Amino acid sequence: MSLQANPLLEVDGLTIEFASERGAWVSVVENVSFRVGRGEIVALVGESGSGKTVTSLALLGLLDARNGRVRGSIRFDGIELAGLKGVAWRQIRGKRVGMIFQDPIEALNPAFTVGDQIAETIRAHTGVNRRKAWTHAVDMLRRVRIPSPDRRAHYYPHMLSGGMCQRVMIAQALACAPDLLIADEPTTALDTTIQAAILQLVREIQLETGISVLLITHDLGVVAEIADRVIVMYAGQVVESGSSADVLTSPVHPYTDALLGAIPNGSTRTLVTVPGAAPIPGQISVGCRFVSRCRHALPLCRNRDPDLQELDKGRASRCLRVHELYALEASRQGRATM
Amino acid sequence: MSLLEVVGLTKSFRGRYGPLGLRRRAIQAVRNVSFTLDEGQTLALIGESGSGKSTTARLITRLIEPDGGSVNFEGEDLLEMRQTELRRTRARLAMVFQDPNGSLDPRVTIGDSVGEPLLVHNGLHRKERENRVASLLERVGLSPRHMSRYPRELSGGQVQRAAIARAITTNPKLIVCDEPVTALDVIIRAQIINLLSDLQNEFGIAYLFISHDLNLVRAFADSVLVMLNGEIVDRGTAQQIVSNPGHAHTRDLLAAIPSLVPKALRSGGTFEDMPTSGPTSIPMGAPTGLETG
Repeated sequence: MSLQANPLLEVDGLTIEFASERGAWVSVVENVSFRVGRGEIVALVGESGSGKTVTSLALLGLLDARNGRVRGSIRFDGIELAGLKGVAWRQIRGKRVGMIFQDPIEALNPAFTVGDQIAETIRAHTGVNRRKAWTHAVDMLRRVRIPSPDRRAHYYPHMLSGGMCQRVMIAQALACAPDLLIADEPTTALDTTIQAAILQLVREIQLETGISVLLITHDLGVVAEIADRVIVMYAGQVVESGSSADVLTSPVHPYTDALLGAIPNGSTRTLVTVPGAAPIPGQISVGCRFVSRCRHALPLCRNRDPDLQELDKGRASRCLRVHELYALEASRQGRATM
Repeated sequence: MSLLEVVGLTKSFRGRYGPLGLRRRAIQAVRNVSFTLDEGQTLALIGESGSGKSTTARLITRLIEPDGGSVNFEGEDLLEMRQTELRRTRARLAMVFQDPNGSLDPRVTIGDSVGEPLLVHNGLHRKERENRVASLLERVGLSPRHMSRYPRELSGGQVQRAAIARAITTNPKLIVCDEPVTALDVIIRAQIINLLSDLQNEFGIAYLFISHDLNLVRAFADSVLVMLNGEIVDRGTAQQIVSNPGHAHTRDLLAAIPSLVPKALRSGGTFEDMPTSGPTSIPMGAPTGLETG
C-alpha cells in the first residue's frame, strides 16, 4: 500500500461481475483494493483473464452497464467515481484521467490527422479556439519527442509506425494535463527496442509533470524498468503487492515466483514453469486459486480461502504459508549478500 | 550434409505508395539470405517487425514464391518441386504460426485438425487415426477428450499445443515456427518452449524459430541469425551473439531486453543500459511517410 496519507486513487473492495449465459452473475474481479499515490508509477500485473484490464476499464467507467456490474469504491482525488453518471464522467475521463491502450493504431481514428485528434480532445475539455488547440496539439507532439511535430501533426495514423502512434496516443492522453495516466499494455504490440524508448518516455514525462501512472502489464520486465510499486493479480484477486524492488527480488507469493521463473534469463535451456492454467471465472471453488499449480501447497490450502496478509514495508501476500516463504526469502537474501 | 540449406533467397513485393496509393515501387523484403540448418538443431531468426523474418519463413515453406535463390531440404531443391512432390515433402516440413486461433479451422474439431495430415499423407483407417491423434494430444499435454472440441472452446495455450500436435503428426524433420509463443502469457510461453525442447530431444526435430525476442531464444537456440531490412546482418552461436554481438543492431536488441533487476536497485541511471531511441532504419523502398520510433 502507498505510504502517502492522501493518495490520488483509492480503490476499495472492487468487485466486477458479468451476467453469464445462464443468467447467473460470474465475478471476474473480486474484492480488489489498492492505492496509487501522487507521482507514483504503479503496475498492475497479471496474465490474460486475471482481471487487470477489466479493473482499468472500471476505473474509467467504461464497462458496459447492461451486462456488467461493479461494486466497491473508487475514490479519485476525493471524488467517488463508482456510480458516476454520463456528464460527470466527462469532467474526469480524458481530462483528469488519461488512458492509452495496447494497440495504438487501432485506438486512433484513421480518418483524421493526428493533430486534429489531439486538438479535438483539447477543445472538448477546455473550449479553446481551433487555432490555440492546434498549437497546443503540436506542442504535445513535441513533448513526446516526435521529430518535426509541425509537419507530423498533418499526418494520418497509417503514415506513422506503431511506436510513433503510441507517442501520439500519449500526447493525446496528456493534452489536458491529467493527474493520472492509465496505460493498458502500452508496449505489448511494439518491438522491444521501441518498447524501451516508449518506457523511457513515460518515465521522463512522469518526472517532468509529476503525474501518477497506473500501468497494466503482463511483463515483469516492464515493471522492473519503470514501476515504483507492483500489484500482482491472479484469477481476479490481488495475490501480492509491494515495492517493485521487493517483489521482483524476493517474491512472497508462489504465483509471483512462478511468473519470474518463467522468464528466460539465458542461463538454462529449460524454463522453470508451473503446470496447468489459471481457473476460469465461474469455475472457481473454495480454497486458494493457485493451489493446483503450487509446489508449496498443503492440504489446508484447498479448504480455506487465504486472506491478503499485510507484512512489513507495505507488502502483502495472499498465501497461507507467507510467513514461511518470507523467512525462506530472507535467508536466501542473507546468503546472497554474504 | 545439412538438413536445410538456403542460398541467396530473395523476394520483393510491389508496394503502393503516394497519397492515393497509385504509385508503385518494389520493396525488397528479403535480400540474398543464406544459411544452413543441421538435423536436430535450432536456428533462431531474429528481427523486428518488417525485417523480413516471416517472409523468409514463408519462402522456405513455399507459402509464397521467391524471386530467386535456392532452398535445399534433405538434398532436394524445394523451389524446383512441382505441387505433388511439394505436398509429399511437406509431411517432413511442418509449420507452427503465431496466432493459434488463426491457424486452426474454427469449424473443424481439434481431433480432425490434428488428424488431417494423417489422412493426407498416411491414409490410415479411422480407428488407427483416432488412436494416433489421442496419443499425439497426450504427448503435447492435452487429453483425448479435447478431440471433440472446437478451437474456440480452448485457451490460447491449448490451441497452440494442438497446432504443435498437428505439426508433429507426420514425424517432420523440420518445423518452421513463426513467433509461436508471442501471443501467449509468460507461464504458458515457458510451458510451450519446454514442450518444443522436449519434442526435439525425443524426435530429433530441427526448428527454424522466428522471433523478435532475443531474450527468449538465447538459451533455446543453438545458433542465431539477426535480420534487418531484409538482410542477415549478424550470425553466430547463441553464445557468440549474446556475448560478442557483431552488429550495432544486435547490440540494440540486446540492450532493449528488459532487465528483471528493479530500477531502484540498479547502479547508475535508470536508462543507461537502454538505447536512446528506436532504430530509424526502414526497409529500402518502403512507402514514404512510414516512420519508426
